[in-house]
Amino acid sequence: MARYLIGRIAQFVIVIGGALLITFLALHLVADPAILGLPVGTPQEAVDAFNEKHGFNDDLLTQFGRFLGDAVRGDFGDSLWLGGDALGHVFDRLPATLMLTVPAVLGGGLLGVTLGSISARRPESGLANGLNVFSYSVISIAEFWLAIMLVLVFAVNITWLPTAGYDPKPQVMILPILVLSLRPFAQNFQLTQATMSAEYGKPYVLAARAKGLSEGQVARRHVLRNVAVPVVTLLLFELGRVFVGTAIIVEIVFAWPGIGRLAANALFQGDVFLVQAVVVVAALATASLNLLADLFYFAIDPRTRHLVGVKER
Amino acid sequence: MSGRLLGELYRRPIIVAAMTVVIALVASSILVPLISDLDASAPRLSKRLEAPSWAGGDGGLLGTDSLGRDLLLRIMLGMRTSFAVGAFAALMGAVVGTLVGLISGYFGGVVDAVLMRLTDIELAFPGILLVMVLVRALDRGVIALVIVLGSISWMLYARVVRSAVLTLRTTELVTATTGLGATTPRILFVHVLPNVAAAAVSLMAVTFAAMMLAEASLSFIGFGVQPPDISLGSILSSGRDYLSTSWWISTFSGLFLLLGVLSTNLIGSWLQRVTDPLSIHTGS
Amino acid sequence: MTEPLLEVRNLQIAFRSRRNARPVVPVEEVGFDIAPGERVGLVGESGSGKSLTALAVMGLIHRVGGELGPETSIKLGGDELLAKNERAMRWIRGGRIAMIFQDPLSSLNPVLKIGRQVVEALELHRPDLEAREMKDVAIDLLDQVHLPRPDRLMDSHPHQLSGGMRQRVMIAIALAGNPELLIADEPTTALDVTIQAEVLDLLYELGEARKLAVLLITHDLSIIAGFTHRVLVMYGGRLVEQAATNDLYTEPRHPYTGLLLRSIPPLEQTEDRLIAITGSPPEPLERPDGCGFSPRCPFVRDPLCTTQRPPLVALDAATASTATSRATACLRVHEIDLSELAPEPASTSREARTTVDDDVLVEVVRLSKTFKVNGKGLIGHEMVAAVDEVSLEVKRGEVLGIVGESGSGKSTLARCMLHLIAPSGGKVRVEGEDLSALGPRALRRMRLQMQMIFQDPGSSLDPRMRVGRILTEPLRIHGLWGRPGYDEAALDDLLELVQLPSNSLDRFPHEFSGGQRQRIAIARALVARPALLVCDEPVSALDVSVRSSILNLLADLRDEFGLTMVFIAHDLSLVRFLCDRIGVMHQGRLVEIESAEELFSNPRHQHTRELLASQPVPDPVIEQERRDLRRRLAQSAE
Ligand code: SF4
Repeated sequence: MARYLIGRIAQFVIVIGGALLITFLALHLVADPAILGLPVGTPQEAVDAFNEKHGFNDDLLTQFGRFLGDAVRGDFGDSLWLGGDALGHVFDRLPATLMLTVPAVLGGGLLGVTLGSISARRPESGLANGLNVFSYSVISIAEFWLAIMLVLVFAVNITWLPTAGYDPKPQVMILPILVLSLRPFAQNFQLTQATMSAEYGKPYVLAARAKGLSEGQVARRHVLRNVAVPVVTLLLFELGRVFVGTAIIVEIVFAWPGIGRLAANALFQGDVFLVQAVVVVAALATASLNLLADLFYFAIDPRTRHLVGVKER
Repeated sequence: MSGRLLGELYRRPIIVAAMTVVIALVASSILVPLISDLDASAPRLSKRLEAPSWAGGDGGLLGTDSLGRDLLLRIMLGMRTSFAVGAFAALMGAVVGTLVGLISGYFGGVVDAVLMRLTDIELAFPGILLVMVLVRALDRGVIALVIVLGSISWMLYARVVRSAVLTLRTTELVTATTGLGATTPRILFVHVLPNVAAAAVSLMAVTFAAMMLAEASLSFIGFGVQPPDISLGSILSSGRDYLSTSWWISTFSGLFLLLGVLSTNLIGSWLQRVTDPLSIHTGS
Repeated sequence: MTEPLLEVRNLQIAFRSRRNARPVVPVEEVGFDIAPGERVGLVGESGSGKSLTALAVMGLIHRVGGELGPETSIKLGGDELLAKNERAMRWIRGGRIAMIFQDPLSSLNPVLKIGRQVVEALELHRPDLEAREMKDVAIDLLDQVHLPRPDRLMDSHPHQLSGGMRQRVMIAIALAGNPELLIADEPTTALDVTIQAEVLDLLYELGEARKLAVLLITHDLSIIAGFTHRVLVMYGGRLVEQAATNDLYTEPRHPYTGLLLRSIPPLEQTEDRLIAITGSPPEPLERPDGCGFSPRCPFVRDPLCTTQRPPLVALDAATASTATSRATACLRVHEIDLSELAPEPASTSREARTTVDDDVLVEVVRLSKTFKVNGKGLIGHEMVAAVDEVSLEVKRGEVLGIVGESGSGKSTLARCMLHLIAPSGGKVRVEGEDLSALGPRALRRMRLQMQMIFQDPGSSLDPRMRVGRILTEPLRIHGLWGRPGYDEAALDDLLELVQLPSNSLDRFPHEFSGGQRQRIAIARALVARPALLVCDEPVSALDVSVRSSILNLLADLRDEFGLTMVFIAHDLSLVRFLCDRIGVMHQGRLVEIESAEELFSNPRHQHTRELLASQPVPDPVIEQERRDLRRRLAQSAE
C-alpha cells in the first residue's frame, strides 16, 4: 500500500516536471522569448536589454534551474504584458473558469451516467438508440461552432440571452455551461453504457439473479459498484480536459475572463512568464485529478490492495 | 474477411451513408477549386456579404464573405486543409505510435516503462494548451501544425497497439511462432503486426476526425492555419463579427466541418467494432 | 412412488435475432423429473443445451435473450413455475432452487466481502432471522462447507481465496435459503482434480445430510459416476438417453453414450487405440434433419435415421412414462449391439512398435525457473520457483508423460525444455547440444528438431493466415520450402496423415472445428520432421467426443514414426494411454518418475497417490470405493 502510494506520488512529480520541461524548451529553445514578446522592429539595444534583464542570455541549463527553483517557491516572474505577479493573474482568473467547468462537467457527466445506465439495461430501446446517435453527433461537433450557433439563435435572433461578457448570473452562464457540458455528457454516456452492458454479461450478475435479487437490486448492489471505477476516472479526466481544453475556446467565444482566455492572450502577447504560470497551474490541476482518480480506484477495488502480479509465465 | 465486412456494411446503411459523405467531401474539395473560375483570396468589394442565391442574395450557392469572396470555394479549400492536416497528422501518429507500441508491448521492460510515463505526462498535460505553446513556438504554419498534432497523437496509438500486443501475447501465437524458429523481426512484422494493425487502422479514422476538429479549433482562435491558407476554423471566426447580418458564413463552414467529422467518427467507431481482434479469434 | 420435486415437460428454448429470420432452437423436447433428495446428472458437450436447460429451470432464460416454447411446463412440487410472476420467482430462486456456476471467481462479486455476499442471500430468503443473527448464521454456513476459520473469511474478498474455497463460498450462499434443489453447472471444471474430488464429496455429503436434490451438469461422464442416482445425456439440444447411473455405465444403449464411454482411456490397462467418434458436435443452427447424431453415428441407416426424429422412448414398453424410467432416443436401439464397437485400426499399416532405444535424446539437468512475484522493481518482490531443479531424460522413441495440477510448473517445464522461455538455472541437452550454449541462430536452427503443440490451437495459429501458409511457415523460416521433399506433394501427404480434408490449404483456421484446428497445429509441428514433439495439454480445450481421435493420431505418430514425445497433461487417464514413462510434478518439483505400469500399480509419493485417488473414472462402483479411499486418506493426513 505505502509502496504504491510512494510510486504514484513520484509519478505525479515526474508528470509535472515533464510538463514544465516541455513548456520551457518550447519557449526558450524552439522559440526566442524576445522575438515572441517584443514587437517586430524593436531596436537591437532594446532586445539586448530585454534579454539581459530577464536573464535570457544565460545558458539554458542555468535558466531551467532558476525557473524550477523559483517555480517551487511559487514565483513565476512578473507578467510582461499585464505587469505584476504572473501567478497572481492566473489565480485571479481561476474562479471564473471553475464557475463554468465544474457545473458543466458534473452536470453533464452525471446525466450521462444516469442515461447510460438506463440504456445499458434496455439496449435495443428507442431511447438508447436515440441517445447513441446524439452522443456521436455531440462528439463530432466543434464546440466553438456550437457556441456561435447558440449565440446566433438565442442571443442574436430571439435575444433571450446576452451574447457574451462576464457576469456571474445564470442567464449569462447558461450557454457556456451548456456547450461545455455536452462532451462530458456524451463521453460518460458511452462509457457507462459500454461498461455496464459488459458487466451485465459477467457470471456474477447471473449468480446474483440466481440468488433471487430483483433487477433493481442487481443494478444497485452489484453492477454499479463495479462500473464506478472507470466512470469516476473518466469524470475526473473530463474535468481536467475541459478545464484546460474546451474552456479556452468557450471563454474566447463568450468573452469570459477565465484562465483559458488568459492563456491564449498571453501566448499572443508572447508573455513567456504568464504562459509558464498558466501551464503549470493547468498541469497541476490535471495531474491532481488523475491522482485523485487513481486513489479512488485504489479505495474502491479491493483487488488493488493486494497487488500480486506474476511477471512472466 | 472482406466478404464479412461487406455483409456487415449491408446491415448498416448509416455507415454506407457516412462513407459516401466522406468520399463526396474529399472529391468536391479537390474538384470544386479546379473547376471554379473564381479566386479564393482576391477581394470583390462589390459583392461583400451577399446572401446565398436561394436566400435572395447574389452570393452563389453559399453566399460570400466580408471581402466578397465566394464562400463555397473557400469552404471547399478549407475542407481540403482539414482533410490534409487530419490525414497527415493521423498518419504520422499512426506510423510512429504503432512502431513504438509494437516494440514496447513485445519487449516490455525499460522501453515500456518509459513509454508509459510519457503517455502519463501527455494525459496529465493540458493538450490544447501544449499544442498552442508549440505552434506559437514553431512560428505557426500548416507544417508545424501537422507535426505538433502528429506528435501528440502517436501516444494514443502506442497505447492501443501496446495493449493489443499484450493481449496477443497472452495467446500462444508468439510462443508458437518462436517455437518454429522465427527471428524476432519476423515474429513482430509477419505475425504480430498484421494482427494488431486493425486496431491501429480503426483508431486512425477516429484520430483523423479528432485532428480535423483540433485544426479547426486552433485556426479559430488564431493559432492554426494562417492566411493565405484557408481553414474552416478561420472562415468561421471571420463570420463571427457579422453573425447578426450574415449568418451563412459561420453556419455553413461549421456545418461542413460537422459533416466531415461526424462521418469519419461513425466510420471509425464502426471499424473499431468489426475489427476487434478478439472477434477474429472466436471465429464464426 | 413419491411426488417428483421437479417436473420438466416439453422444454423448448428459442433465440430470435434480427439477423436470422428463423429462430435458433438450442433446446427441444426436453422432459425429466427429479425426486426429492435425488441426485441427477445432466451430461452433454458444449452447445448441447445443458446449461440453458438449467437457466430455464431457474426462470432466467429471458435474461440471456431466450424464450420458452408454448408447450413448455416446469413444475416445482406440483406448482407451475411458468405461471408465477417475477416477484414469486425471485422468492423461489435462491430460496427453493439454488444454483452454483462453473467459474467461482467470476461468479462472486469482486468488490464485495464474502460475508456481505452470504448475508445478502440470508436477507433475501430467511425472513425468520433477525438482522443481528445473520452474521452468525453466515459463519455457520461457511463452517458447514468446511471452510477454515469462517469468522475471518467473512471479511475477505473473493480474490484472496483459492478456487476451491470460492466454490465452497458459492455453495454456502446457495445453502442460505435452505433450498430443496441445487443446480450445479459444471461446478468443478475450473478446478484441479484433487479439489474437484473435495468439492464433489462435499456436495454428496450435503445432499445426503440435507435430503437436498442435486442436478449436476457436466461434460465429464467420469465425475458423476459415483455421485448421482440417475443420468440424463443430452446431445444437440435433445435428451438422448436416460438411465439409472449403474445401468448407464454398465450397459449404455444410445450409440452416443456408448461411444463416449468407450472413448475415455481406461486407467487400469493400456490400449493400442481408443474408440473415436468422427466429426464434431453440431452447432445449434446446423443441426441435421432426422437423428441429431446421424452424421457421426456408426450405426446410421439411410434414410431412416436421416429423415425421422427419434423420440425419447422408454425401453421397457410396459412403462408409459419416460419421465424417470430407462429411455433412449435411437430408432435402431433394439437392433444394434454396442459391444460390437471396436476402435478403428490405424490409418496405415503399422509395424509392431519399435522398442525404445537406449539412446538419450533429451537430457534435462537441474533445470530451474524462478519468477518475480509481488511488485515490480528491485525492492519488495519475492522469487517463486515455478520449476525447481528438475532432472530427467527422454530416450529416443519414448513418450514421456508429465502430470501435475495447475501451478505445478509442468507447462513452464515444457517451455524451458525448448528454451521458449530462458531457464534460470540448469541445462537442457537435445541431441547432445546444450541449448543454453547455442547462439540465437543455432538455437533457431535447432528448433527444426524440436516442436511444440499447445493447449488452445485457436490461439497458437495465426488467425490471418491460410492453412497453406501456416503449414509452410516453418519451412519458409528456415529456407526449406520448395526444396525436394518439402513441396506441395509433401503438404498433401501431411494433410492425409493428420486426416484433414484435402481442400484445407486455402482456408483460414476459424473455418475449422476445434479438433481440426489441433490437427493443423500437429501438421505444422511435423512439417519439418522434428525428432522431438512436446505436447502441452493438447486435448484439454477440446470437446470430449473429439479428444479420442486426436489421442489416436498422436498414438499413430508415436508408433509409425517412432516420434519422441513429451506429453504434458493434468489428466492421468490420457498419460496412461499414451506414455511409456510418467513424471509427476508438484509445486515445481518432479516428485516421482516411473514407468507407466509401475506408477499406476505402485505409486510411491503421497501426491501421486492423491492424484490417483482423485482421478475420476467412469465406473460407479470404483468411484464409490474411491470416495471411501479419499476419506481414509484425508483422515490419515490429519
Ligand atoms: S437413430 Fe440412427 S443415427 Fe441416430 S443414434 Fe440411432 S442408429 Fe444412430
